[in-house]
Amino acid sequence: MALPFPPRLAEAARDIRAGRLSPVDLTELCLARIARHDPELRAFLSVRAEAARVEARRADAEIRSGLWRGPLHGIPLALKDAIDTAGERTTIGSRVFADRVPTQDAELVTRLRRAGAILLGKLECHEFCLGGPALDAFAPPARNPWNRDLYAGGSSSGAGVAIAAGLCLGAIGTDTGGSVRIPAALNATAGHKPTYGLVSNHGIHPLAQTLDHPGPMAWTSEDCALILAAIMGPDSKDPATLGLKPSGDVAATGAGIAGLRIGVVRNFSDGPDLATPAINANLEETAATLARLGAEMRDIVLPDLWDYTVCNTTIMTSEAFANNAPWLRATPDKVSAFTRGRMFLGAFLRAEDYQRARRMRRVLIAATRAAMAPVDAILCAGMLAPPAPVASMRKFYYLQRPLITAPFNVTGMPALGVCSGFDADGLPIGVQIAARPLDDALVLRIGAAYEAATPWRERRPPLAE
Amino acid sequence: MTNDPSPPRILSREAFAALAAANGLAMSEAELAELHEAHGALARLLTRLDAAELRTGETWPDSVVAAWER
Repeated sequence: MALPFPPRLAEAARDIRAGRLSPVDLTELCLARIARHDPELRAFLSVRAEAARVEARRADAEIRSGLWRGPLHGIPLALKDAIDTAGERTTIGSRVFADRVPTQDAELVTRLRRAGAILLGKLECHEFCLGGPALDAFAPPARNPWNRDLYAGGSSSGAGVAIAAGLCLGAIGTDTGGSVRIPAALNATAGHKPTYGLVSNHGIHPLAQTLDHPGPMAWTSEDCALILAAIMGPDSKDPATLGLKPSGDVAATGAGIAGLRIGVVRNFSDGPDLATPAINANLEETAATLARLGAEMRDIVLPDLWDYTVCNTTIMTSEAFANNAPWLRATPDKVSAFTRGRMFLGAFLRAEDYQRARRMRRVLIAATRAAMAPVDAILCAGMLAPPAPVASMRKFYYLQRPLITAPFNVTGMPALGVCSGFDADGLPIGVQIAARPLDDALVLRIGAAYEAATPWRERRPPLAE
Repeated sequence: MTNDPSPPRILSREAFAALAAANGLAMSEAELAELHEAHGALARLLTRLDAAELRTGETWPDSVVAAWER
């Protein structure tokens, strides 16, 4: 018998609060779907079924007794396996850490538990959040539910797959160059990279601290907003967290977008060796939809996408090697060939190139800020091409073309990836919506308005019965 | 000629191998060759960092809000 897809997070939250849905039943549905579909999809590295059942029963009892903790109470979520959970294995997708059991929860896990979320388990991530899709890795890459042979994105690949396949209602990923938004685009989910410093990195394996952004992934923008509201905020254990609140109520995504000024960035995708015609056409259709919803669409031009990419790659490669050098030197045979090569590259970068990239970051922020002066938010493509077959992907493919998600890691701006349609082969297409730092509520509001006006949230990937 | 004492960005195969060994990075000859080629590709991209304005001045301040407020 076919198992139904679970409801969207926001819908489940309303039903749980009203007593129409039991966290126990919802958790059992997710566990049954994991048992049915995950052997093929490989989204989970570990499933804590019994612990999740205990948490679900506790949530059920609390809500029945009148203690409702908020919209995540009783909601089954999952975590990228780079995020520490006390007493439970956290591998960062590597043989190096195959038996690593942290003693403390990451700060955002503490906040999710406090909010009453049910944690189903840990999700596949590319080794050290960088080295995929590697077929010789500790865990093989999660499989794209829209076409099992194609790349599912990364490095938060398990999260994108699990959400699209309805194995959980939301997840936390991490994004250093696009690792929340790329799997969101390739799996047709939503994924939000918050403002840099809005969510604590404490207890998360660092890839590149000055670019790392933990963020929520879910089926809709509204769902992402509800997760973000629970995990954001200052943390004394992460000095990079901001002491400031976002502008507006992050969870209030229903206000519409009439009168907003949104700049369309075409120079990231429309040009030689950039996006496919289908992706550029999709960007125009998305802009037209936002205009119909009352937004004032304007053209804006941002700096060359390669500038952001080079800045991001230089900083990320340098910091990633520095963070992971001890085990790369001591146990290189435990690391996949993809990871080893990409990480080793950082050993050969010059210190002054790292420093110049950090200066370039400031220059790019200034140019971005100036270009954005006439608008409230921007819209650009979320990908340059459909996903490639995993078997065809090469170790250093990312040096051959610019990375359309990198600008918002470099600038620290909040950036939301949403599904904006499907191509002729039935594969998802995504766009990004970004705004000034701390305007997370604004981008989530735009995403929610767009999703409500389009049919893309009604289509789920084909799964075996 | 400059008086810049830093190593050149583009490295010969021999210099690259010596730097790998000095860094304690163990890899096969084939891996070394592939990595050297990738390093060359990255080095060509890094010419974007050679603009005069990037040679001196302030760097990223580790706070996105501080960077945007300048």
